[in-house]
Amino acid sequence: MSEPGQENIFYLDHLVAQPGRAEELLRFYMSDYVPQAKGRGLSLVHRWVTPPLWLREQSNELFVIWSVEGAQAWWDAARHRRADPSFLGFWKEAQPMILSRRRLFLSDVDDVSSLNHV
Amino acid sequence: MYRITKILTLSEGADTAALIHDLAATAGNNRQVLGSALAPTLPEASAAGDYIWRLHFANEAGARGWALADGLEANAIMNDPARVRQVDSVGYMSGRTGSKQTLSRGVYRLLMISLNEAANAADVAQFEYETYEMGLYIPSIVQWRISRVSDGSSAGPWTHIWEQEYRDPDGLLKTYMLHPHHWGWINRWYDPECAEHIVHNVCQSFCLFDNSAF
Repeated sequence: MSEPGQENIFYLDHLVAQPGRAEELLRFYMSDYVPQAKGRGLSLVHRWVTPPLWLREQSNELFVIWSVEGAQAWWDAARHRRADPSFLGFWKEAQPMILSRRRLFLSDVDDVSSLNHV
Repeated sequence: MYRITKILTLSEGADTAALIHDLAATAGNNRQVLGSALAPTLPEASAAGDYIWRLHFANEAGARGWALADGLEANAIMNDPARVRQVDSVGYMSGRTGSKQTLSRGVYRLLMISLNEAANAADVAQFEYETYEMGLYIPSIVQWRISRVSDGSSAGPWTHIWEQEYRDPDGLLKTYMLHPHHWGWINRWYDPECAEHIVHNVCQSFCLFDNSAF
């Protein structure tokens, strides 16, 4: 359990790649998106792939997990992004490599009480 | 109940007291107007405009009756570039409303929302439900209402108005902003990085009130 305001808030990018394009998508994500996101104060925590081999004719699913410390840092990152919407260019360019995607915001279950006590 | 809510941005050098007096008179003189409140926006954060003007009527016909009578004078005032620089305005039937108690004074906040034309009906309904649901989860929201706009103007086109009342500014600027329903759940409709993104534009403002909008 974290101190109030210091809870880890996680961003999960769940990307279902077009068949055979997951490795290419991850490379592009790392080279183009990651520096922008780090500049907004996000820390890259995990890069997971399933299944753990690069499929040639079917879709891999990527799970990229980021974190910030506390809801205020979440808003600070959002404000930085509003000031520089260049991230939209990344998603537009990456779109042909993506079958579907979803972004979720998560926390440790032990932090739910603290996060809701505002 | 039919409502008209406007955010007014005054022109530099405008006689504020005279403007407020003249606008209020167009409401006070007309029996179709069941309530009118004109209040300066609070300087905190990013409140849009200089004044919020809230009018309510028994129904849309009443609003039309005002618009064709004293409302013409109000429009003439608001269209005078020496007095008013910009008006964001919405007309709407009261939508889904929640209440924990009635406040005699506090902070009134509104968010004008423009949804993408391409948003499908199921997504719009879910968005409206989750917006209403914020009042159930976020303790500082005392009264709240999400309504579909039937008559909008200016930067929108506004499709919805999300109104809330709080006891004090902290309820809005701290509790509302930092609650996980906001950043961890409903935000996905507003966030262009989320697949669910359907909000095209927003305009928010807030003011003190001493007569509830609910």
